[in-house]
Amino acid sequence: MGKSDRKDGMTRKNFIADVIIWAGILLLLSLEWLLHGKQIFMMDDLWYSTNLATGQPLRSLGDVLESQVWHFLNWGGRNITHGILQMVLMCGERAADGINLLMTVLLGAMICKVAGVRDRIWFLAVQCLLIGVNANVRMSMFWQSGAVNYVYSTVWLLFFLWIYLRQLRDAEAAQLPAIAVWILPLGLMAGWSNENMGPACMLAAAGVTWYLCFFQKKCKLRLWMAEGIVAAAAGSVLVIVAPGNFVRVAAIEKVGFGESVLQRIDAMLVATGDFLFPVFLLTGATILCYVCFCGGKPEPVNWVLLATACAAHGAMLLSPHYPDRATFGIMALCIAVTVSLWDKICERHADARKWFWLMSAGFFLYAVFLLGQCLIFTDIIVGD
Amino acid sequence: MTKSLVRAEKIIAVLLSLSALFLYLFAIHDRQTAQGVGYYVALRFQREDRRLFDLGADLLRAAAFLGLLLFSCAVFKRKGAISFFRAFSLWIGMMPFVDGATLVHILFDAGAVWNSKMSLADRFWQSGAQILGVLRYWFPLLCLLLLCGRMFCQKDSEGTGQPLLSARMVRIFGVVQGLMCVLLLALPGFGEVWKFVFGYLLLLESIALIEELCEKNESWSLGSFWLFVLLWIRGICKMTEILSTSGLG
Repeated sequence: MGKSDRKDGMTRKNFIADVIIWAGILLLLSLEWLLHGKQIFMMDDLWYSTNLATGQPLRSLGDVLESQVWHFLNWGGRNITHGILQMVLMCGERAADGINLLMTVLLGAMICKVAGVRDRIWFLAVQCLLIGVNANVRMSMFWQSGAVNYVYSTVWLLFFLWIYLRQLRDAEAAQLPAIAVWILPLGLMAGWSNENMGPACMLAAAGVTWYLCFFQKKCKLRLWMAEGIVAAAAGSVLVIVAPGNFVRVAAIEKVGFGESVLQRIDAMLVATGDFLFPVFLLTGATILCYVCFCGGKPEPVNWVLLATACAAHGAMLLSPHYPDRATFGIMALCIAVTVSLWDKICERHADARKWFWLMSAGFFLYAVFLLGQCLIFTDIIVGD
Repeated sequence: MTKSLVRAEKIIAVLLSLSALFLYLFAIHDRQTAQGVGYYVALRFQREDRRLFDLGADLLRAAAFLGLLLFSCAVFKRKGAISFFRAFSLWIGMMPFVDGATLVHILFDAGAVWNSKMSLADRFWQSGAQILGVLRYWFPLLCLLLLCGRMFCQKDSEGTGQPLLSARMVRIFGVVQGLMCVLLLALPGFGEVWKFVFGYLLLLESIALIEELCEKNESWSLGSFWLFVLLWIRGICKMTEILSTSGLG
C-alpha cells in the first residue's frame, strides 16, 4: 500500500469518525431540547417567578433586585444564581429552554477546556457522562431552578478555575485581555454561586497562586490573581453569612447537636456511596489504570481538580441538607479529571482509543435511552 | 514498607469484611421478616407457627449467598483475606439485592410470572432499563480492567507477553450475556432473577480480571484496595437503606 493510499485511508477514517461524533452530539442535544420543551416550570420555579417580597408576578429588573434583597435576608445567600434564575424565568418557557441547552453545550466545552483536551470525541464523551454518571438528571439539568443552580453556575465556576489552571499549566502564559477588570465580577459570581463549590473554587485559586508564586516561584504575583481570590472570597463570605441561611436552617433543622452530627455523617455516606458512586468509581479506576499500567503521574492540574472536588464534597458536612443534585459540580470536576486522563492514556497507547470509544458509546446509549424514556413516560419528568 | 502496607491492608480487609458480613446477613433477615417470606411459605404449607419457616428462609438465603460468594473466590483459587474482601466488596457494592419475596413469588406463582401480558414496547423499555441499570456501573469498570490487561500485555510483549486468560473468559461470558438480553425481552416477569444472574456473571468476570491483574502488577494490587473500600461504602449505604425501609431496622 502506497503512502498516499494510507493517507487517504486515514482521512476517510477520520471523516467517518467525525460524522459519527457530530451525529451523536446532534442526537443528544436534540433529545435534550425536546425534553427541555416537555419540562414545564414547577416547584421553586413558580415561587421564583414572583417578587419574593410582595408575592406579585415579576415585572421588571427592579422586582428581581427587591426579591434578592428579601432572599438574602430571609431565605439564603445564593443571590447571583437565584437572580439569574428569576431573569431567565421572566424570559418565558421557550427562551429558558434555549438558554438551558446553550449552557449545557458551554458546560461540556468548559469541562474539556479545564481538562485540557481538544478532540471532539471527548466533548461527546463529556456530554454523555453528564447524563450517565449524574445522580439526578431531571432535577439538576431539566428542572429550571436546578439547571441555573447547577449547570449555569458550574460553567462560570469552571471558567474562573480555568484562568488559574491555565497559569498552572504554563506559568509564562500571556495575560488574557483586560483580565484585571473582568476577573472582579467573575470572581464575585464564582464565590457567590453556591455554598460548597464557590468556596472550594476560591481555595483552589488561592492554592494555585500560592504554589506558583511562593512555593515554586515560577512567576510573580499578578494583580488579577489577587483580585480574583479576593473577589471570590468576598462572594463566599456573602453566600455563607447571609442572614437568610440562618433563618432557613432554623426552620429546617429542629434536632439536637448530637443527632444533627449523625445525620450529616449519614448524608455524607449516602452522597459518597450512592450519588457520587458512579463518577468516583470511574475516576478512581481511571487514575489507577493511568498510574499502574501507563506508568503516568497525574498532572498538578488534575490534583487541583481532585482537591477542589474533595473540598466541595467535604464542605457539605456543614450543610443541614445534602440533596443528590448538589453533587453536580463535584461530578463535573471528576469528569474533567477522567477525560483528561483518558486523553493522556491515548497519547501513550494509541490502542486504548478504541476502548474509550466503546465506553463513550456505552454511556451514549445509556443517555439516549434515559432521555428517550423521560420523553415517552411523562410522569418521569413532570414534578413531584 | 510494602510489607507493612500489605499487612495493614489485610487487617483493614478483615475488619471491613466482618462488619459488612454481619450487616448483610442482618439486612437479609430484616427484609425477609418484614416481607413475610417465611410466613408466606408457612401459609402455603398450612402451618400456623411461622418462626421455623422464618429461620429456614434466613438460613437458606444466607447459605446461598455465602456459597455463591465463596464459589466466586474458589473458582479462581483465591484464599487470602484481601481477595475475599475484593470479591465481597464487589458483591455488596455492585450486585442487585434480590428480595426473598420476589424469589418466593416466582417459586410458587411461576405461572402468573410466565404469562406476562406486557406489550412489546413496554417490554423494550422495562428490559432496557434493567439491562442499562446493571451495566451503568459494570460496563465502564470492565472496559477499564480489559484496557489495563491490554496495556500490561503490550508492556510485556518483549518477554512472554500473553493476553490475559480472563479476557477470553469475558468474551465468552459476553456472548452468553448478549443472549440473556434477548431472553429478558421474552420473559420480562423474571427480570429480578435475570438481573441477579446477569450481575453474577459480571461479578465473576470482574473478579477474574482483577485477580489476574493483581497477580501481575503489584502497584495495582496495592492501589486498587481503595477502590474496593469505595465499593464497601456503597454496600454499607445500600444495606442501611434496606434496614431503614424494611420497617424492622
